[in-house]
Amino acid sequence: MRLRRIVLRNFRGVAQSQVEFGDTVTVVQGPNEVGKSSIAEALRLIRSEKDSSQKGCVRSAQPVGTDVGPEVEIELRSGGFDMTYRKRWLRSRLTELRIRAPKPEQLTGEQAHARFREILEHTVDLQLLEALDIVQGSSLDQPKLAAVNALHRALDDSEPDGGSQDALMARIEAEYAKYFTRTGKKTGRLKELDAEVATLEARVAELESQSTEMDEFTAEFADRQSERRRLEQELTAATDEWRAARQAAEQVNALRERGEAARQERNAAQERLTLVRQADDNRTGQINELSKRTRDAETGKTRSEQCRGALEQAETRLKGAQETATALDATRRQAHLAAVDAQSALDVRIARTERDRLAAQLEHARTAERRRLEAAAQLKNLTIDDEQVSELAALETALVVARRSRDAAAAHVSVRSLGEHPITVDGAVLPAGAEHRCAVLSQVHIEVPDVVSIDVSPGTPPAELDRELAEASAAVDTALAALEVTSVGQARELAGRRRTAKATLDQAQASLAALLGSRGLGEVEEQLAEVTARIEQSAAAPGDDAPVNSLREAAEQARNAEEDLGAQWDLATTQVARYRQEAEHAREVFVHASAEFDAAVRELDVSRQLLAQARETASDGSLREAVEQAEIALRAAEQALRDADSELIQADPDQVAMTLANCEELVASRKDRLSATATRLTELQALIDDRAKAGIYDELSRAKAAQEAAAASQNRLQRAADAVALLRDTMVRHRVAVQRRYVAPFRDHLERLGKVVFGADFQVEISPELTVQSRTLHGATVPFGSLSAGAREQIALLGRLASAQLVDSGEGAPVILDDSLGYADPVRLRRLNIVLNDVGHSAQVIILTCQPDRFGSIGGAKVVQLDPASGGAPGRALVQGRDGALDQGGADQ
Amino acid sequence: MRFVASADWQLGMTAHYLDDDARPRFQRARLDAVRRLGELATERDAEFVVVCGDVFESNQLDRAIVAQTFEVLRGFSVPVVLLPGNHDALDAASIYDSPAFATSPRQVHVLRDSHVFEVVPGAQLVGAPWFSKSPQTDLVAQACAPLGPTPPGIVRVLVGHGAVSTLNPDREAPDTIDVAGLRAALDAGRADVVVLGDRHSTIEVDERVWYCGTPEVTARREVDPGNALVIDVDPDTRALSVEKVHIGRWAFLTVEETLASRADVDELAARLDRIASKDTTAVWLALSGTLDTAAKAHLDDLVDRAGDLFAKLDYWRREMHLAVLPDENDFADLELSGFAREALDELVSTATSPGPQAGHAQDALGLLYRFAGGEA
Repeated sequence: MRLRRIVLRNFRGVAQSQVEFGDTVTVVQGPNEVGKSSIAEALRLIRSEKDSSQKGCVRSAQPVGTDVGPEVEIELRSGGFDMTYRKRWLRSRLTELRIRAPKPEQLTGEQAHARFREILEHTVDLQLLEALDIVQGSSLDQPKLAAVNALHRALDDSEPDGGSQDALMARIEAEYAKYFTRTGKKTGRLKELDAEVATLEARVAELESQSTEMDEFTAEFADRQSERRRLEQELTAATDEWRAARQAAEQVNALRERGEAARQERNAAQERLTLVRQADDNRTGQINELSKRTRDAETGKTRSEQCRGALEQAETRLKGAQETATALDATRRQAHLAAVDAQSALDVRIARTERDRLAAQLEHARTAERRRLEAAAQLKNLTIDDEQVSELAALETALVVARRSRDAAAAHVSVRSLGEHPITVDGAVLPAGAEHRCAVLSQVHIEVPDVVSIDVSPGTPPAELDRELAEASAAVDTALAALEVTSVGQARELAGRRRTAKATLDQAQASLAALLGSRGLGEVEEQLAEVTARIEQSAAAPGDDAPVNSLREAAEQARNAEEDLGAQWDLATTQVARYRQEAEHAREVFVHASAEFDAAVRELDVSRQLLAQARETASDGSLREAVEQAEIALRAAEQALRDADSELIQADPDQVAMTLANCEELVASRKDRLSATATRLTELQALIDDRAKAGIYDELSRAKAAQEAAAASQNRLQRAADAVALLRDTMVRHRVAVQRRYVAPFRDHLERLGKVVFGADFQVEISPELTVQSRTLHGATVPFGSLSAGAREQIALLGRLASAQLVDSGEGAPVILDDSLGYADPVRLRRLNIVLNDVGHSAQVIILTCQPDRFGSIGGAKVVQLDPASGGAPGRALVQGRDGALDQGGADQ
Repeated sequence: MRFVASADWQLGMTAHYLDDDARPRFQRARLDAVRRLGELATERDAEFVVVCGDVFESNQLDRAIVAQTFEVLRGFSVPVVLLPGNHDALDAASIYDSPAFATSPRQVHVLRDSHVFEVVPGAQLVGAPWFSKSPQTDLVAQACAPLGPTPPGIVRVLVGHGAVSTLNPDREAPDTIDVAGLRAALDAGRADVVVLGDRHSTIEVDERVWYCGTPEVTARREVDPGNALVIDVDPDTRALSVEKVHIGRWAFLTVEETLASRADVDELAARLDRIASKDTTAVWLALSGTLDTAAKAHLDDLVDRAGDLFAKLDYWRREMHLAVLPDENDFADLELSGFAREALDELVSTATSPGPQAGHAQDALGLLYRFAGGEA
C-alpha cells in the first residue's frame, strides 16, 4: 500500500489541508498543532470507522465549537488498486470510494466502506499496518510482530495457525503436568507408584528371602538328620573299639602291677641284705675295734711309762743347772767387788796427777796475769800513738818546707875558711877548709877573730812565705802542746814506749788464753780444789804411787773377769729356764699320756662288754650265714622283676594307652558332635516351626499380587507418561525449530539496519514472538528492558523498519512515524536518517515531525511543510524537491 | 474295588495374577473342587479317595488352610489317603507335622512311608512320599522294590508323585520315575495300578499308569486340568478301568487373534462375549497384527469393559505383537499444520520404524489424535 495524498477538511483544528506523499520517504514538517498528528489519526479513522460512527475518537475529530462534519480523503494505491477514498462523519455523513484501476468502480456508503476494507484486507496486512504505525508517545514499545501474518509469510511460508495450535499445546502441557514437574521430574501418581513399587518389591524380596531361609533351614535339618545317623553309627563303632582298647589296657595294668610287686619284692630283698650285711659288718667292726682298743691300751701304757722317765730325767737336769747357776752367782759378785776396787785405785792415781798439773797451770796463770796488769797500767799512761806521731811529723815537714821556701827567698851566706884563721860564725868556729852555708834570716855574725867581724843582716823577707812559715810553725807548736811534748822526737819516743807496753799486754793475754782456755782463773782454782778434795776422800792409799798404767791394767783385768763370770751366769740361768720348760712339758706329756692310757683302758672295757653282749644275741657265724641267705634271695627277686618287666614290654603298653586315648577322644568327639547336631536340630526345628507359623507363602502371595498390581499401574502410567513426554518433546522441538527459522531472517535484517546505527558489532537476540530480547554491543549483552530510552526507541523503530522491508512490497504498509526519535542524539539521528532513507527504497515511510532537524538528513526524502497560518487553507502544503533537506529553510516561508 | 484318584490339589495356592475380587474366589474354588471329589466318591460308591501328592501348595502356608481342608474332608463318607509330594514334602517344615494336623478327621490318612497300607479291607496302598524337595532317587521304584506279588483277592495301588521318564525332558534327573521299571513291576503282579501326581493335566502314561491331574486349573499352560479318576480294579481278574471325570469349574484361556481392522476388534469382542462363566474364567489376549490409532482405542475400550466381567482379562504382554499405527485418514481431518504437522510426521516415522521408541511413538500419536480433536 502506498499513500499518494491525504486531504483533511474540518478535521480537528484543520479547516482544510492537503498533503501529498512521495513513494519513498516523506517528511511532514510543521510546528505543533498544525495537524501533523491529525494526519495519522485521519488515516486510522478513515480505514476503521464507518461514517456512522459516533465513537469518541470520531467526535474528537470534529473542530471545537463547530457543527461541521470532519472529513478525510485519501488517494492511495494498494495491490494493483488505484483509488480515492473519502469519508465524512457526524454531519452530512458520506463514504465515497472511487477506484480508477484496475477497473473503474465507484461506490458510496456501506458498500464503499466494505469494499475498501475488502481491498485493504486482501492487499495489505492490517496488523502490519498497525504495527508499523508509531503513535506519538508509544515509540518505546516494540511492535507486536508475532501476530503479523504478512511478516510470518515473509519469514516462513508456513501458516502460523496460532489459535488451534495454542489450544493443542495447552492440552499437551496439561497432560504432561499430570506426570512431570516443570523441570521434567516425575510427579503425582507416577512418582507415588514408583515409591509404592519399590516398597512392595522390597517387601517381596524380604518375604522371598524368608521363604528361602525356611527352605534352607529345612534342607539343613535333613542334612543334620542324616549326619546324626552317621554320627550315631560312628559312635557305636567307636564305643566298641574303645571297649576292646580298655580291655587291653586293663591287661597291661595287671602286668604293670605284677612288675611293680616284683620290684617291691626285689627292693625288700635288697633292703634285707643291706640290713644283715650291716649287722655282719658291725660285728666285724666290733671285733676289730676291740683288738684296736687292746692295742691302744698297750701303747698307752708304754707311752705313759716313757713319759714318766723323760720327766724324771728333765727334773734331774734342771736341778743340776740350778746348782751351777747359784755357784756362778757368788763368784760373779766377788769379781765385781774386785773390779770396783781396782777402778777406784786407778781413779785416785789419775786425780793426783791432775791436781799437780792444775797447780802448775795455776801458777803460770797467775804470773801472766800480773804481767798483763802491769802492761795495762803502762798503756794507760802512754797516750801518744804512732798515728799522732805521723800527723806531727807531717806538720813539721810542712814547717821545714815553709822555712826552706822562705830561706830560698832569703840571702845566703857561705863561709869558707881558707887559711888558718879561725872563723866563727855566730860564735861557732868554722873548721879549716870547711864551709858554712846558710840563709840569712836573722843576723848572722861572722867573725874571724882579730881579723874581722861581719854581720850579715837579712833583708825584708817575702810576706807570704813568712806567714806560711808562721802558720806552719804555729801548727807544729799547737800539736806539740796538745801532745804535751816538746818535740817530734819526744813524741816518737813516747809512741815507741806505748808499742812496747802493748806488745807485753798482748803476750800476757795470749799466755792466759793458752793456759786457761775459756775458763776463768777461779774455775781452775775450784777444779783444783775439787780434785784435791776427791783425792782426800778416796779410800785408796794415799801414798800409793804405783804407776797409772799398771793400775789401769789391773782394773781392766778385774773388769774382764767380772764380765766373764756374768756371761757364764747368764748362760747358766738360760739353761735353767730351758730345763724348767722342758720339765714342765715332760710333765704335761706324761699327764696326758697317762690320761689317754686310762681312757683306753676304759674303752677297752666297754668294747669288750659290748662285744660280749652282741655275741650273746647272735653269734658271728649266724650273722655270716644270714648274709649269704639274703644274697640268694635278692638274686631270685631280681630275676622275677626282669621277667615281669619283659612281659610288660611285650604287651606294648604305649600302643595300648594311645589306642585307648584315641578311642576315648573319638567317642567324646562323636558324642560332642552328636550333641551339637542334636542341639542344632532342635534349634532348626524351632526356627522352622516359628517360620511355619508366619504363613510366609500367603504373605508372599499377597505381597506379590500387590506388587504386580502396582507394577502394572506403574507400567500403564509410565507408558502414558512416556507417550505425553515424547509428544510434548516432539511438538516443542518442532515449534522451536520453526520459530528459529523465521526469527533468523528477521534478526539478520534488524542487525543489518542496526549496524548502521549502533556499529558493526551490533547484535540482537530475538524471541519466537519476534521481540528483541537483548542487545549486544561491544561484547556487552543488555536485556531490552534495561536499555536506555533512546536505544529502546531506536531498536523498536528498527524492528518496524525491518518488518516493513521484509514483507512483500505488494503487501507492505507505510511506516508512519509520528514525532518519534525524540530520545535520539544527533549522531544516532543522522545514522537513523540513513537507515530511513534505505528503507524508503522498499517501503513507504511517512514521518510527521515538528522537529525538522531530526529527519533533515534523509537523502531521498520528500519534505512537506505544514504552515500553521494556512491551517484552514487548502492546497497550501508545499512540496519540496527530493533534496528537501537542503531547502528546508525555504520551506518555512 | 472302586476308588477315586486325585492329585495336586495345591490347596492354599493363590493366583496373584488374577483381579483383586477374583483372587479369593479362585482360592475358595480349590476347596470346592475337593468337596465335589467327596461327592463324586459317594455318588460312585468309591471305597476311598487317594490323593497323589501336592495336597498343599506349600509347607510355608498359613496353617489355617489345614483346618479349612479338614472341614471339607469331614464331609467325606470314605477314607481319604494323602501322599506328601514335592510341594508338601515330609521334611522338617512339613505341614503334615504341624500342630494343626494333629486333629485330623478320622477318615484322613497320610502315607508317611512305603509300608503296605490297607486303607479298606481288600485294598492296599503303597505310597512313595517325598521327604525333601529334591530326592536323589526314584522314590516309586524304591517303594516298589520290597513288594512281593499282590495277594489274591486284594487290590494294590501304587501311589507316587513326580515326573515319569517318558514325559520328563530331563531324563537324567535322579528322581525321574522309571516307567519301564513300573511296567515290569505291574507285570510281575506287585501292584495293580499306579496313580501319580505332579502333572496337573490328566495323562495316561500307560494303561495302568495315570497322572490324575489337578481337580481345579492352576495355570494357563495346563492342557487338561480339572479332572478326577474313578478307577475300578477287579481283585480277582485284575481287570482295570479308568474313567476321567471333569469336576473343575475354572478355566484359564489364552485367546490368540490377528487384528487388522475395527471389524476384527468387533469380531474379538463377540468371541469373548460367547465365553460362558466369565467370572470363573481368566483370559489372556495374545494379539498380533496392525491396528490404526482409532481401532486401537476401540480395542482398549473393549478390553476395559470386558475386563469387569471376567475373573481376568488382559493382554499377554509377552505374546502381544500388535502394532498401532496412524492411518492416513486419522489425522487428515485434524488440519494440523506448521510445526504440529512436522511433529506428527516425525512421530509417524518413529512409530513405523523398528526400535524401542516405536511403541512410545504409537502411544504419543494416540494422545495427539485425542488432543487434536480426533476422539469420538
